[in-house]
Amino acid sequence: MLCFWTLMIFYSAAIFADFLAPYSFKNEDRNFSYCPPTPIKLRHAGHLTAPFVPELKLHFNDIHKRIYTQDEGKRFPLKFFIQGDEYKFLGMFSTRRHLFGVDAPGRVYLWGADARGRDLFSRILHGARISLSIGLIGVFISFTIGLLVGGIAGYYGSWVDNILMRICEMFMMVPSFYLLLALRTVVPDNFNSLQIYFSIVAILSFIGWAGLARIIRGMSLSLREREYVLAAKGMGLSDFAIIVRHILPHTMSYSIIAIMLSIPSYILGESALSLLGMGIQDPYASWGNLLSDAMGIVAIQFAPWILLPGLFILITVICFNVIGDALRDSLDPLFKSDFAGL
Amino acid sequence: MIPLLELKYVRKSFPLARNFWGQTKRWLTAVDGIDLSIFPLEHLGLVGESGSGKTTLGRMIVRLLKEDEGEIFFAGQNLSRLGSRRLRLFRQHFQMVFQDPFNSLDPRFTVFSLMAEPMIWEKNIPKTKKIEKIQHLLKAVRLPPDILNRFPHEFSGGERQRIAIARCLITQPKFLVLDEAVSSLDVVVQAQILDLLLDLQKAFGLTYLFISHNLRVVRKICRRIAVMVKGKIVEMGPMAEIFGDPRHPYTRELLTAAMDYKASPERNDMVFPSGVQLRDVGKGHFLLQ
Repeated sequence: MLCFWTLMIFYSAAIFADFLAPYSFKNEDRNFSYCPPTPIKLRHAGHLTAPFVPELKLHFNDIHKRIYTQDEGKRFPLKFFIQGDEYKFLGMFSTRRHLFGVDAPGRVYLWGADARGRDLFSRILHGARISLSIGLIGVFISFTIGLLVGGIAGYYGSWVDNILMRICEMFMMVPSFYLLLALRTVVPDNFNSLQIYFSIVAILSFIGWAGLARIIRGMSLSLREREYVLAAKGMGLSDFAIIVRHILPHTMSYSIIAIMLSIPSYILGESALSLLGMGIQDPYASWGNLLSDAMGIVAIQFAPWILLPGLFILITVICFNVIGDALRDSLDPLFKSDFAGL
Repeated sequence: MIPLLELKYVRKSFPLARNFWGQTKRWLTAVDGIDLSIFPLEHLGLVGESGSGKTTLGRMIVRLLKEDEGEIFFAGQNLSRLGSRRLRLFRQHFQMVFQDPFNSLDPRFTVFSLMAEPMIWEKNIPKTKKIEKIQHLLKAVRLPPDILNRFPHEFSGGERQRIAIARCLITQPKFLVLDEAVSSLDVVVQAQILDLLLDLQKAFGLTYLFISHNLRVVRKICRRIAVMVKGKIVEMGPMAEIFGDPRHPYTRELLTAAMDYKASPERNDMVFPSGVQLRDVGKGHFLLQ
């Protein structure tokens, strides 16, 4: 249940990312490179005040490390529903309102800044859109393919089954990460970010369907002998209608679990590609390419907060796995009755 | 009289074992060259032990299986020659009631969607019309018409079988194959369903092929009986003839077992010499000789 609500919060945060984040994903200020998380203070000179952000001053120490010192001489009050970068709210209308922020030239970095002084909190929120949606869209596409191929192979059997299953095995034979990289090289490099996004979704779902198809095929092999399938055939239903109406719904209890357990692999797949710089390209943010900043040991040492996207990937993956396991446990009696020993 | 259904030397075998190269080494002949005619409005009982091929025969007639050899004519139409599209349309003329009403109704469907299923392609029929038609049929099988939104598991075996029968009647078939349709039901419900089948026959002008291993049931509903052993019909004739003057040793054995019929049981290994044929022994009584 905790995991479910965690994911709910993540997904709604991703939907309202524009509004929740104080900056857009590409708003940068090079004066604040690797700025640590800004403190939000409630006390000034011993008195309780409205929350404010102190002015930060950058200077370098003797080993050229960036040191930010707080100067409460100049205070930037934290404002809610402030005007900021323009965005389209839910893609419908343009607005400049953000949940919170401070007036320029002050900047608020809840979770620190990256090398180019972009707010990591904002970028994680925007990155969640890509990282979390890739899992859902990828799973949707690959399960549609997997269910149909598995259903058709199992229902028709004989040579149809043979051909489709050999194709599946061709996909399963190649280690998936190398297949991922190989397919990525096919995508033209002049694609814009949206095209890249969809080509990554396509690549990920291209890899994932084969395993599911094999299992669904096994199930529909046994389901097609059921009398209600014969009855439907006898009533003159087309083969496709029988597969969609009478065979695939009976594999659902398995499929739902499989969906939950395979979403993480899509998120991880995208992260891995982006981490290697082959996925979502800067300035667009995804959790994977945010992490690619954290590949150097120096960066991690001086700015450990840039590892935060990794924590979010971890939490999301764990949540999906726990939910998948919980679903499996709760659906188990049902599952057993349909497919004992599978 | 022109037969509604005519089988001409129908054969069907299933592969039992394959060799390394995928060629079939051994075959099981389930239906071995059957000639059979069923006339309009007739009830033909097909009896035989399990494994004698009677279900296979029934499934071939309703085109759930394809015969290896021979031809099946339905109302003058050669079913073996129908293309898959035309066959799908033609299926409305014959339907099959399955043995187990717990399996023949998809557990995820409500009564309405189960019964409306044969009509799913007829999109121009409004839903109210469909409901009307379904309720009419539910009434015909003596079920309350307000069960449309309930699921099969909420019903008893007898009620489910009634739903299954009503569903078969949606397409207004002329011919029903009842494959052990009452075998899984208890005796009282059996009797009710059999009465219902006789009533429906009159109301809808149906012809039945009644497949069963139970002679008592067959006697109640059928006027003509065919006895099937190992894929062959060994004896066929009017009910009175079969019960009064069983000629084939297997028929006698069956009657002895089922009806306490007094006869000397002689076990026969049922090896058919080649060249045996159903021969008329008088009064419409045929015997494999």
